[in-house]
Amino acid sequence: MCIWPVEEIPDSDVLFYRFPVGNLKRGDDRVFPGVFAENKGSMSTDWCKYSTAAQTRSRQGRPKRFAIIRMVVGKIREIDDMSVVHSPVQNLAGQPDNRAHTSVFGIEAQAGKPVQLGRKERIRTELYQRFNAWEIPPNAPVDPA
Amino acid sequence: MSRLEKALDQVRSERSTFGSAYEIRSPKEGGLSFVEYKSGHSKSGLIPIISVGRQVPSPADREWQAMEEEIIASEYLLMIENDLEFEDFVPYTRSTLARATQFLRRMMIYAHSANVVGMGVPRIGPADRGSIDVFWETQDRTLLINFPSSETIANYFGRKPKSEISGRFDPSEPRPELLFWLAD
Repeated sequence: MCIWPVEEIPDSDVLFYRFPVGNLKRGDDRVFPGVFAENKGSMSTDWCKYSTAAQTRSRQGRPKRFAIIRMVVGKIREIDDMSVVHSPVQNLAGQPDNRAHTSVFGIEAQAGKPVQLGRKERIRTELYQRFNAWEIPPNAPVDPA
Repeated sequence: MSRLEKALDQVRSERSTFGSAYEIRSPKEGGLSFVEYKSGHSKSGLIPIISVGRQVPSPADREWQAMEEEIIASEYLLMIENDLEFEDFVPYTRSTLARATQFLRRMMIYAHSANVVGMGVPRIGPADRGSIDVFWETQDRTLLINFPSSETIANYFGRKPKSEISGRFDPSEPRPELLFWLAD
């Protein structure tokens, strides 16, 4: 059970999104639209109120495996169908406690809604056009802090 | 008999008598190679062999070459492992990659046959659940085509000033409208 309250995240705040660098082409470290993908129903990110970019990178261990993208909450919310919900994790089997955990919804169409052709490609293009720079680039040295 | 016919007749006759009329003279003289031309017993001459610069590839050829390089480089997708990060991970398969790359080649062939240059070179990259993205990005436009792992259709979305396109299609045929949309 999680005792941390779910909080409202202001539009001006920032989320950190972790991406495995093993998915990048060797010699080409650029962000690409496929970076933005849901896992278990949402994109998992960390809210800057409770996490730094370096902490997000280290959360699963072996931080060198990951690069970090910085996403402004309001810029996500301005995309049709996208929403951002604080979803802290505590006492969940197999997962480290994480008060910063925040879910980004909307890449996948919600059940029952009419199918729009190319919808997911549109949303990933929108995300890419807003967030196509690394906060912590691939193979950056690991922050000792 | 015309002058040309006379000249050819003479060369034929000299070859039958003296062997080949041409002989490469080596080593190089003054940095140039020469072919020695012997005409009968008395006449001979040196014809310099001048190095001709390699033909500059056309923009269409360069585009084709860059596209082929991207296709070859995209094989790295087949080696991506999950690394425990994503529960929804589906491996990237050769058949999905082939759908994407064969479609690209069809588009290239169509572009060449229609003399369309300026389609640009897309990036081929991984997307969710084993699907593969082909992504064009130029100064004023983007086109994202996704090839799912589980079905043989492709989905796309493109944006440029005053124009958005989206839909799905069977990638076993080229899509001229996407080509012209990219290249106009």
